[in-house]
Amino acid sequence: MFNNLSAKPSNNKNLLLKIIQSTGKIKINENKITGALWTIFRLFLLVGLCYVLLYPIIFMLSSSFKPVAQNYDPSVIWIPKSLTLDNIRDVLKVINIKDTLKNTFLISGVSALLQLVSCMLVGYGFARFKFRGKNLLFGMVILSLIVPPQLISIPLYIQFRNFDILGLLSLVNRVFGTEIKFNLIDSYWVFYLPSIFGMGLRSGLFIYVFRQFFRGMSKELEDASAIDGCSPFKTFISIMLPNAGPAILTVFLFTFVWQWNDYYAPAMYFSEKTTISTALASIRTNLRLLTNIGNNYLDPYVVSTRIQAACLISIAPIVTMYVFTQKHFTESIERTGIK
Amino acid sequence: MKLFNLSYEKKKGMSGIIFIMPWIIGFLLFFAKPLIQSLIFTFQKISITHDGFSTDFVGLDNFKYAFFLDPNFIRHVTSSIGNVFYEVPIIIMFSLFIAIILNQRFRGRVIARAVFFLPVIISSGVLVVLLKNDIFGNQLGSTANVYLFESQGFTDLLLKTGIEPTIVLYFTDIVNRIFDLTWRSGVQILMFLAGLQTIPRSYYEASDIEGATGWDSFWKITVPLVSPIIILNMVYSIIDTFTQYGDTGSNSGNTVVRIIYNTAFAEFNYGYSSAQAWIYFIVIVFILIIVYRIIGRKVFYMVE
Repeated sequence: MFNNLSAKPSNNKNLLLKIIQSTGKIKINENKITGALWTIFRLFLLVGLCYVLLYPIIFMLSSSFKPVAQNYDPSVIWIPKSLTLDNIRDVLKVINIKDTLKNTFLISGVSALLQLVSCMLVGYGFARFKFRGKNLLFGMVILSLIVPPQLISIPLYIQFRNFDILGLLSLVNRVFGTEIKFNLIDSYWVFYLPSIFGMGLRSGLFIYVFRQFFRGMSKELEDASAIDGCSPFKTFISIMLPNAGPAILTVFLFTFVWQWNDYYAPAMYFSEKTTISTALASIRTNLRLLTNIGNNYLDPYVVSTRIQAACLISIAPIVTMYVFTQKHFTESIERTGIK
Repeated sequence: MKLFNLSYEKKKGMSGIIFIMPWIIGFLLFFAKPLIQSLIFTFQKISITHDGFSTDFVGLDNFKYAFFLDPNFIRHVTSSIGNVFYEVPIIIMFSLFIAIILNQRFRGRVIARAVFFLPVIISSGVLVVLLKNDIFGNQLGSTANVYLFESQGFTDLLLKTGIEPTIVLYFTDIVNRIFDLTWRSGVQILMFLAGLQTIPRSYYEASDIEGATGWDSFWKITVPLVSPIIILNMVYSIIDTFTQYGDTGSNSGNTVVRIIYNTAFAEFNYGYSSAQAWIYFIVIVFILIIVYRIIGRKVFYMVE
């Protein structure tokens, strides 16, 4: 009797175990099926979207080296039958490539460096020190991010046209009776000066990034170096800076690239000089002025292939840079831990 | 003498101010001063003379002109507001989805990430407008783009199945905009990915053991933990949509920015341009406040 009773539950138990095991097997199989379906779906989605993203670049590559006549050849879609440099040559002529590249590189490179240094110092100041009105000032950093550049561009333009630091120049002029004027329009200082003072293109964002980054550093390290007699500046140089590698790289790449692509500021402050982006914006009109194209500009492909060539030239330097720094670019963002 | 009597904390505070000094100067010189000046400009008519500029006080005339007389400005502003409410949610959902996919482990992930971050590098508004006009403008009638980026046949098919036309058009519109979307979500994908990587894997393992489905853990773990980044991305996308490069000629991109620029530097009407910029700015701030009020409340911050 007792044996029976005791045997029954154990039988049930075995049965239950079996059921659990078998359902478990089914579950695993289900998981496998959905997992496989998901993998296939993901593959299609990613390949499709990568195609959308790479399409313009492939299109640019294809049409900038393609002779115009081959656009009418139905057997040619992507790979041209013969290659030509005519398109590129025309574009180089139209956008005056030497000066344009020099301007763009100088503006992007130098202001990226200046912005890096200033934003790092300011971000550090906001991250590690307590002083009165800090939150209010940081709110102002955020405000400078939200305000569209169009809002302050006209006064800035006028300010740069007759540049004067806190009325010092006009004082000098009044005292000595001179007529000295600094016109910074069409000079690089229009980009460098705001960058030095942490007010360059999207500087607020970079200050924010550095602040977040330096806030994650340990306080003990800082205090220890202060007890050892380091000044705050020396602490910054010898302890904080060596650890800031990822943040520095991220900010440098972003400032460089954004400055390179920026259209608004160069279009406003440069009337004679051109950068890649301003040259690109006016490429369509300028192409028509070129005599050997002017005769047959009614052919849409003549203009369009040259525009593709211009686009290719404009992105070539930064894409090359990206190919080499790609790993750092994608990983450093993750390590800086923007929150 | 007094400097030496300061406590350690006070001294530290002083050096903090020294660290942010460059920014304070820059803020006053290149931000606060022009901002106040442009506010003053909105009440003035400005004419450029050979030695600077002269101003006449005109009161609210610039604003009256913008609201009641200018045939273009308000129309373009309202359409760009509509655009923001339409595009920003799509961009956010799309980039979160892509970031979750890119955060999974699979072969070729490095390459996929590199490709998806391309728009961050080629973030030139000028280039995108040129590309849209030329490659996708269809004026050349190349066969490739007809099949790729026109969902006309698909739309007809869906309409015949009897689904509400507005819904069909909304979805096909998204399909048609897929180029725009993928090209404008680079930074957002990057930020979401950074956020996703701060979520410990153990959370998902624990919820998996408790029997939660992927759907559950998405809503109960992923969304709350990336919600601070959702709001950050929203603010970024709103500002980005409002200030991107536009071309009034081809009516693509953000045309308001172009109008403000042209009023100032083609018509030399600086006062009116400032008024336009201020109206636009107030609209942006207003929308940011609304979004922050609605979504900011639901944001979950992990207690550190």
